Amino acid sequence: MIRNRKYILLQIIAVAIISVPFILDDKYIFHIAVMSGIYMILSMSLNVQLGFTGLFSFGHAAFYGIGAYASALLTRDLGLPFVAAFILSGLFTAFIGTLIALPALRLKGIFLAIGTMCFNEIFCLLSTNLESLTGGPAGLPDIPVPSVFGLEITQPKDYYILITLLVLVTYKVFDNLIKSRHGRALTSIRDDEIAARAIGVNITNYKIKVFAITAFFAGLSGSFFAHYLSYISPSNFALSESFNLMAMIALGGIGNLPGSIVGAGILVIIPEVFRFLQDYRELIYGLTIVLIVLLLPQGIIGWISGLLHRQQTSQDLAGSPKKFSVETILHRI
Amino acid sequence: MVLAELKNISKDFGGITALKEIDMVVRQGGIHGLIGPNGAGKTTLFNIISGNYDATGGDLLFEGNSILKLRNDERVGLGIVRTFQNIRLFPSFSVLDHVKMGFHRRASANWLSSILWLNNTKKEESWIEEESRHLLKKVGLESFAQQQAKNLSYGNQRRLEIARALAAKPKLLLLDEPAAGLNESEVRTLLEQIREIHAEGITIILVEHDMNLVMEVSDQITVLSHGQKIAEGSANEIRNNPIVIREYLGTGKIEC
Repeated sequence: MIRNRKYILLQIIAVAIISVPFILDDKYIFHIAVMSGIYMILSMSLNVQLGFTGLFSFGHAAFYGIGAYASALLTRDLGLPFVAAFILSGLFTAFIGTLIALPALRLKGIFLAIGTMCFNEIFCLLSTNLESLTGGPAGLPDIPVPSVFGLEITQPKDYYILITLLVLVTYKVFDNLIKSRHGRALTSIRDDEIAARAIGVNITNYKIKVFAITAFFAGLSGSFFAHYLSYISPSNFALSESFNLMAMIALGGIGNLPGSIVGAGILVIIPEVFRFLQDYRELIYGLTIVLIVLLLPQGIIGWISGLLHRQQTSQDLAGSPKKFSVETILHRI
Repeated sequence: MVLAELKNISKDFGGITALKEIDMVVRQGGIHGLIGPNGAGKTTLFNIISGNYDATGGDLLFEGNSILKLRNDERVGLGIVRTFQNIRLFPSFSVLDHVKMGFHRRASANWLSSILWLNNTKKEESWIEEESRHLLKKVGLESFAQQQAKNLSYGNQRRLEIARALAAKPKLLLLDEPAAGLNESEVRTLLEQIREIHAEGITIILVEHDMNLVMEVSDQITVLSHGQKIAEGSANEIRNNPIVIREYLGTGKIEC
């Protein structure tokens, strides 16, 4: 009963937040909201990989970029409709994700982190230097406006509706995955590989699949990004972007799906709010991350749900299961 | 009826021979004790049967088929499930989730079905939930279902690890020193539990230092020492075997 009421309350809050941009009805607000949405999908998928499976991937921005370039080239140069290119670029990115996973999974912990970092760098170098394909450092301009089943998407408001739907679908997909036996298997790999194997989890298979599915969603958000801005360049997908995503999931809570939504939202909005500080806003950005990691190692959502749990049951001292803090991650490395 | 058979199993770690040409027959429905002094190779043998290590030589048959080439997780699918000497639980899992994890190989819903939460995933998840709670009740841990496993007492953690293994519906259950670190009364409960598992028709291989426990439950005992099999037989035979006595108690000569 209480749980049900809480669920309804959460839904009301979600609807309220989603409707804010409509109330303000401002192009700039819509733009920030769309960018938040893109980062929400990226950070949720990275969180499934890092937070739930324990794979330190610092190359997520490369998957984002692969999706973006794939979709841009498919529509611009091959003339495919947006919907087809959107899905194909997701699938293509998933394919690349699988290819990357095969060698990468020989690496563990910090070595995997370095390996995936290199992958991100390789992607950037390729996209900068393969001028005939990617346009080089100047990027790819004139990416067609998306049209969904005959409807051209041109207004920021329409983009916003589209990305909101996409965020909800992504959330639902990952939430279902995590609730299922496959999600338990992923978390068991994070917790103890030997024990996971001893209870029947095919670790390699799961790691490859998790690379594929998270790359798929990174690719989708890349495709959306490309068509939204209609211009992409290698700098959009640099290594710093991967670190950015890492900060988002640390902020919201590692191994916490709603946390990634909140984390991405906050870290997209903060630099905008502090725009008046000009270059100093980077300072605020960094300070926020450091403070969160120091004060709320379980992330914002982990902290809030910890508070709620303490009120609910005094018995359950450790709060809810499936917590995983920055500290544990660092400890692991 | 033979369930598992080890033929000439050897294992080297670099230049060190951990196991040398071990032959062992595990009968269906029995409790097979595996004893020996520290460093005798008991856990190594366990790791080879469960698939954590590859044997350097020899063959391993399970229900008549060679399984030496199968991975650890594939052997779980066949029904060979183990527990660990130093309990290996998942730190972030609740007690209930541990048992659910045991059902991993018995469930079949694929990723697509799980992602879309299709009917068969829905059905399977509620089946797993129900069965898991049932199993928890059976081992007496149902009141801890939502707690994190790491908050359980040591004895209960052991019991949970065994429950997780049972959830996988083993044909052959490998218990690696299940009584280690347990107090007298916990050992009694463990004994009961082993008997219950046995009564369900599950074959057990038991590595144990607690001689009373091994002698009491095992119908067949293999003694290892320095990687070699030195004796095999019923509890009584082992108890009176002069080689075993010498291995455990020494020969009476004082060597400097």
